[in-house]
Amino acid sequence: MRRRRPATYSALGLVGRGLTHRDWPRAWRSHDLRDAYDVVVIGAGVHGLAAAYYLAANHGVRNVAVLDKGYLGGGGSGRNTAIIRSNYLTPEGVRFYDRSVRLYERLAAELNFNVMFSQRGHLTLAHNDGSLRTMRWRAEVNRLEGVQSEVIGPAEIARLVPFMDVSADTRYPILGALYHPPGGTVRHDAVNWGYARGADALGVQIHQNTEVVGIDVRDGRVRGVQTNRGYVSTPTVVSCTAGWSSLVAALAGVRLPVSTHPLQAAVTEPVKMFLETVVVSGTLHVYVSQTDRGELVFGASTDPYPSYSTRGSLEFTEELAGHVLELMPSIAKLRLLRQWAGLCDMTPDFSPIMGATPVEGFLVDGGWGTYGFKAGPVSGEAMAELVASGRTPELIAAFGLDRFAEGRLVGEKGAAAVGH
Amino acid sequence: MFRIPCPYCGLRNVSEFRHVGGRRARPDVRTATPAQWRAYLYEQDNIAGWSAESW
Ligand SMILES: Cc1cc2nc3c(=O)[nH]c(=O)nc-3n(C[C@H](O)[C@H](O)[C@H](O)COP(=O)(O)OP(=O)(O)OC[C@H]3O[C@@H](n4cnc5c(N)ncnc54)[C@H](O)[C@@H]3O)c2cc1C
Repeated sequence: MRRRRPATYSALGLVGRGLTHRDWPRAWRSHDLRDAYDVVVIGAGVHGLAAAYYLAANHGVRNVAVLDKGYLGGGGSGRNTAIIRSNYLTPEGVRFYDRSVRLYERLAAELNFNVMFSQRGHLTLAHNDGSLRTMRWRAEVNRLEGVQSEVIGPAEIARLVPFMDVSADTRYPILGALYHPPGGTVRHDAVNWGYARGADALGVQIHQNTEVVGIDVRDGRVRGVQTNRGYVSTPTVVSCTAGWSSLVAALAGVRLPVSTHPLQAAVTEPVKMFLETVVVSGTLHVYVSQTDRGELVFGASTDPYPSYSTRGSLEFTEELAGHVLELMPSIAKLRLLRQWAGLCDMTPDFSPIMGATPVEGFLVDGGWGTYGFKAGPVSGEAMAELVASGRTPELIAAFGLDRFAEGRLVGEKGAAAVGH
Repeated sequence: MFRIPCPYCGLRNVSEFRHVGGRRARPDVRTATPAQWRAYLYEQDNIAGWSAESW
């Protein structure tokens, strides 16, 4: 059955269906591919889905297709560690990510879908003078942009995270931390599904298992895309393909300053709640948070060489375990349950690339590296506005592809290399 | 850990090397335009497959 309205959920329905396992509502539909769309979005991750949702919701552009070569959320959007924050280093970055945090705060209500956004606070530890200086710098930039961040000392850290070893006789003693109370975590799958459900209800068509194998460019203009299910004509293509973005851009003859690295993460068996905040240590190349189910989620920096492989490695888990135990020796008995990897499209300045390209009608939303999940709502909103109005919104003007040729890099390495 | 055959010191652990990027021809500094130079600095082929790299 094809429903026009989004699936609705209620406590009563949950009990009934839980008992019978019948008639679970489909959150989005499948369709035949049309010959033409007003806008084709490539990639059904959070960026593609959010862009399609806001095109329909904010601008009434509903003849939109979202194409994905795999399944919805099968890229970074279903593999990330779901940390949301806005304590970046540059004013452009802080303003941009702050808008996303504000959209996340209202997202469950906007989509009528529980995305479990939990603003539990975010700590970035400093183990040496250099990183303490960067924390002070970030705290000042954040304060000027109206984002709550402050540098705190070891006593305060110990109060927030009682299990952390803040003593002075460790290999890398903790000197202080950047404390960012509005930061936290979200349920990443729920964000993807919520946007998909919302977009579907507004008439957007989501096509899984639909790979774009060619982009038809004539006289410097996009005319359509070739897929494994046939040709689709369209004047506007938005590529939201993260780790694959340079391969997709190459189909349109556009070169991106992107190199694809795997990023790994791991999760432990669930234990009783003991860790409230997200904890990041750049020096130790590790970060940790506890999910509502009680698992500890660990992440690190990317694998040190480019690859499109999503295999996990033993080096990663060994290094991770060693570093985590320096911070919290008392969790030594916890067992890892799973480890996995996703692809990250790293840019030279650790900032994203959004907006127009030399090919008219071909727009990119990429360069999300290890930090792009938190930006899904704001970049979706801004890209939708760009597509609908033809004008680049102020909030993303600094992140254009032209910045590399013009030497206007937006350096965020100091705020994004390990803490994603 | 994978190992890399180094022409100077033989088969060594990858952790002893640093990845620099895809191998690219460096433009002539005397004649390169800023656009060529920046393309050399930032643009990567980033192909999914075999590629020549500098370590
Ligand atoms: C382990 C890990 C941890 C992370 N932690 C965080 C974090 O804590 N916080 C944070 O903000 N970010 C984090 N990130 C980064 C974040 O996951 C990504 O930046 C973000 O999900 C990118 O979303 P996207 O929608 O742009 O791309 P993706 O979700 O990667 O989606 C791209 C989609 O494009 C599709 N595609 C590719 N090529 C084609 C084609 N030719 N035709 C059709 N479809 C195609 C793919 O199948 C894929 O589904 C993490 C990433 C990883 C891997």
